[in-house]
Amino acid sequence: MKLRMILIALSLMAFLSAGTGGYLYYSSQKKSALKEANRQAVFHTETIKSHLSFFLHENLNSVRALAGLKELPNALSMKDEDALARANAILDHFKNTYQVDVCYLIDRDGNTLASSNRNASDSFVGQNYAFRPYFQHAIKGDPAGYLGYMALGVTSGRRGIYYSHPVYEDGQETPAGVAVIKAPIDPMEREFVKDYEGIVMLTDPHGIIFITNRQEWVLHTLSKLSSEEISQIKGFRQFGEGPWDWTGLTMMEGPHVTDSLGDKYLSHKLALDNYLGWNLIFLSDIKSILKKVSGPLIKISGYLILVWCAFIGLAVFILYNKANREIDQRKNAEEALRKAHDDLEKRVAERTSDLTKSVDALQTEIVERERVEAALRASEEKYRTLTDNLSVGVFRSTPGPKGNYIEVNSAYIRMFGFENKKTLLSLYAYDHYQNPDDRDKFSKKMLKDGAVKNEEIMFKRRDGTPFYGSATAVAVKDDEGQVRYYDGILEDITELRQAKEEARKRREEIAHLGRVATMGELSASLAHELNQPLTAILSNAQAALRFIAGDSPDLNEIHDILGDIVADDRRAGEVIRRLRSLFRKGEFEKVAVNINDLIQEVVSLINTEAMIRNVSIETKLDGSLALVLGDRIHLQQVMINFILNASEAMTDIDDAPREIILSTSQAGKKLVKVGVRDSGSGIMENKLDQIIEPFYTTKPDGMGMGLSINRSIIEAHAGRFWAENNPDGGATFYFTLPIYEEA
Amino acid sequence: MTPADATVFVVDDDTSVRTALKRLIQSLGFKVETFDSAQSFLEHGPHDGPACLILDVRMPGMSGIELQQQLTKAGLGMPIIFITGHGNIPMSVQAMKAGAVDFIEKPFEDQKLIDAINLAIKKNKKFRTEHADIKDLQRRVDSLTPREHEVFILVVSGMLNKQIAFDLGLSEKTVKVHRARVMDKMKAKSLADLVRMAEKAGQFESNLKFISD
Repeated sequence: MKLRMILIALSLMAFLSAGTGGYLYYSSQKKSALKEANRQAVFHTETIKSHLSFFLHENLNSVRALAGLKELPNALSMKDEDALARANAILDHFKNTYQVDVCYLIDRDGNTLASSNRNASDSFVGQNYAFRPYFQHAIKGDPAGYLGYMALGVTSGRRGIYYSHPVYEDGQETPAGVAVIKAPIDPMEREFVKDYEGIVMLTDPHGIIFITNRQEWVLHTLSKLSSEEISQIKGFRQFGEGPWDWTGLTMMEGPHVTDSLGDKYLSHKLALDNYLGWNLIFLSDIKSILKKVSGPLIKISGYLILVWCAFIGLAVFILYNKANREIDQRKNAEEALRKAHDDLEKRVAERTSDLTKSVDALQTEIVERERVEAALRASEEKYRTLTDNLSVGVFRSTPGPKGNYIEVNSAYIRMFGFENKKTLLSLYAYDHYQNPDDRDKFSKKMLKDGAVKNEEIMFKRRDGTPFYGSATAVAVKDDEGQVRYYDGILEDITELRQAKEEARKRREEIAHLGRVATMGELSASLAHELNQPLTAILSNAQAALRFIAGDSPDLNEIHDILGDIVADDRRAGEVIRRLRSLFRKGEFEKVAVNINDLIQEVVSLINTEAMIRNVSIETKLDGSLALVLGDRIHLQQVMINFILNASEAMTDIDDAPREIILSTSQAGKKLVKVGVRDSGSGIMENKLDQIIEPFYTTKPDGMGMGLSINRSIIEAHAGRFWAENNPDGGATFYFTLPIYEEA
Repeated sequence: MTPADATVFVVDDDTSVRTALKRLIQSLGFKVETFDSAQSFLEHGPHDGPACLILDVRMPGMSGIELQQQLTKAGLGMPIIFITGHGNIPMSVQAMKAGAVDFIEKPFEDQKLIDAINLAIKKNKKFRTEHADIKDLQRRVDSLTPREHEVFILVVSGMLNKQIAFDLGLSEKTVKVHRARVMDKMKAKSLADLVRMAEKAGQFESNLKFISD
C-alpha cells in the first residue's frame, strides 16, 4: 500500500513534474514561435509594401508623357474624326508599349472621347468618369492626385490602378481634359499569393479588402460596416455596388483577431505610404503556429498516461526516455528553424534578383520611352518643317473683328514682309487688311458659313504696299459650338491676278478683232440695211421736191412723205446704234442679261445677211427663262459667230431648205442652254470632240477664229460649249451660261 | 408719146423703198405698180403695153437676178433696171450681160433713175414693134395647111419643085399649086422675101410657142 502510495505519489510527482516541465517548455516554445511568426509577418509586409510602392508609381511617367503629346489636346479641341483617330493611335501605342489595360482620354466634363478599348464591348468611349477622384484631381491640375488610384472598374468590373494627368491645350492655364492609364493589378496580386504562412490583405480606409491571397475575401470587409458606411462607400463608387460582405473577423485584445469559426490570428498591420488609411495586414494563424509546438507534446502526454496506468516503476526510465526524445525534438525544431532561415535567405536572394530585373526592365523602359519621345519630337519637327517649307502661308488666328494670331508659318511671315514671327504675332490680323472693312466681312462670313474658299482679299505688307491674297480657311469650334479660332492658308495671288488681267485684256483684244472681222463678213448685209432707209429718204425727198414744183401740190401727200422720211431716218439710226454697240471696244462687264432679247436683237441684225445667204432663221425661245450673267457684246458676238458658222455649214445645201433654229432652255437650276441648229451635212463623228479645240474650223478655208473666240468668251462666262449631230441631219452647237443670282 | 402710156413695175421687199419709189416715179408721170417679191410679180401675169421693171437685186426668196433669168427665158422683152444696196462688179456684169438696162446703186439721184426708166421704156417699145411683126408672120405661117407647110419648109431650104415632088410623092404640078398658095398666104413678093420671113419666124418659133401656151 505504501509502495502503491509511493508509486502513486511518485507517478503523480512524475506526472506533475513532467506536466510542469512540459508546460514550461511548451510555453517557452510557443512564445518563440509566435515571435518568429511576427518577425515573418513584418518581413513579408515590408517586402510587399516596397513592391506595391513600385507598382503604384510605375505608370506615373507614362501618363505624364501621354498627356504631353499634341494629339491629345488636339482631339479635345477639334473633336473631329481625324483628330480623334490620331489620339486613338497614340493611346493604342501607349497601351501596347506599357502593357496596361486601357489608355483613354477624358474631356473636361468627364466624358471619355478616345480610348484604346474603343472597339471592345465594354468600351470606355462615351462613359463619364467625372466622379472618379483621379479625374477630379487631375482636372484641377492638382499634382497630389497623380499617384495610381486603386479601384474597381465601373465599366469593366475589373480592379485596376488608374494613373491620370491633366491635358493642356497650347498656352492654356486650365486643363482641357485628362489622360488616364488603367493598369492591371495582376503584378501586385502576384505579390500576395506567394507561399505565406498566413493571410495577407491590402485594405482601404474603410477596411475593404482590395487584394488578398484569400480570394473569397476580395472586396469583403475587415469589420462589420454600418448601413451609413455602406451608403458612403457606394457614393464613392470606388469599389462598385457592393455588397462588401463581412469577413467575420473580430478584433480582440492587442494584435489578436478571431474569425467566424473562432480561429485566432496574430495580426500585423503596416500603413501604406501616400495612401492615407490604406494598410497591409498580415494575419498569422495562431493554431498552425502552435501546432508546430504542441504536436510533439500531445504525443508525450499519451505516453505519460500509459505509464501512469501500467508501469509506474518505469516512470523514471520513461522520463529519461522522454528527455532523450525531447532533445531529438528540439534538434528537429532547430533544424526546421535553420531550414526556415535558409529559405528566407534564399527568398531574399530571389527577391533581390527580381528587383534587379525590375530595375533592368525599368531601365529598358526608360530607354524605350526616350526613343518614343524622340520619335514624337522628330515627327513634330517634320510637320513643323513641312509647314515652314510650304510656299503658301498657313495661319491660325482667333475670331472676332480684330483677331489674334496664334500660329503662322514662315511663308506667312515673309508674305507680310516681316522678319520674325514675334513681331507679326504682336499685331492683330486686322492690322494687315488694306481695307479694314474687309476683316469685318471676312469674319462675318467665317462665322456664318464656317469656312471661306479662295476668298480674294487685299492685304498690306509691313511697308504698306498692298497685295492680293487668296484665303481658304475654316472656323474651328469647341464643344459648345463656339468658334475658337480660324485655321487657314493664304496665297499671294498678286502676280496671278496681273497675269489674269493681262490674259483678259488679250482675250478682249482678240474678241474685238473677231468682231471687226465679223463686221467685214457682214459688210454687204450691213450696207444693204443702211442703204434701204437712205434710199427711201432720198427718193421721198426728191419726189416731194417735184410735187412742190407742180401746180397744186397735195399737202397731205407732202405730209405723208415727211413722216416717212423721219421714220426711215430713225431706222437708219437704229442700224448704226446696233452696229456701234456690237463693235464697241469696251470693258468686259458681266451683268444680268435676258438671253432671249439678246438673241432677237442678233437675229434682226443678221437677218439681211441670212437672207443674202438664202438661210432662214427661226427661234424657239423659252419665255420663262432666268436671266443669265454675261457681257452683252461678247454674247452677241458668240451668237453671230455661231449663226455665221451654221450658215457656212449649209452653203453646199441646194436641194433642201437652209434652216437655222436658235433655241434657249433651262439646264438645271444654275444654267441656261442655248442651241444653234443647222440643216447642213453635220460634223464627222470623229471631229465632234475637236470643235472645242483652238483654231479648229469646220470651214475648208476658215481660220478657226470664230469658234476659238466663242470658246474663250464662253469659258470667261464659266460656261461650256459642245456640238452634236442632229438625228435628222445637220449639227447643233450648244453652249451654257450661268444664271444671274442676286447677291 | 407721154409717160402716162407706160407702166413702171417696182419689185422691192422693203416697204419704205417701194413707197418712196412709187411716189418718185409717179411724180414723173408714169403709172407705177409695186410688188414685195419676185413671186408676186410673176403671179401678176403678162402685161400688155409699154413697161419696164425696177428690180431689187437682193430679196428673200427669189432674187432679182433669178427673176431676170426667168423673164429672159420667157422672152417678154421686159427691160430691167436693177437697184441694189450693195452691188459688186461680177454681179452687175452678169446682170448687164443678161440684158439689163442699168444697174443702179442705192441710194441714187432721181435723174439717174429717170434716165434709166426712159431708156428702158424706149427699148420696150422697140421690142414691142418687132414683137408685133413676128406675131403677124406667125399668123401667116399658122394659116398654111400641113401640106402647104411641108412645101414651105422645103422651098425655103432651097429645093427645086421636082425634088420636092419626089420627096413628098406628089406630081410637080401639084407642088407648083401649093407653092403658089404659100407665096400668096405668106404675102411674099419673091422667093428671097419668103426665105427672110421663114428665118424671122423660125428664130422666134420656140418663144412664140411659149407665149401662146
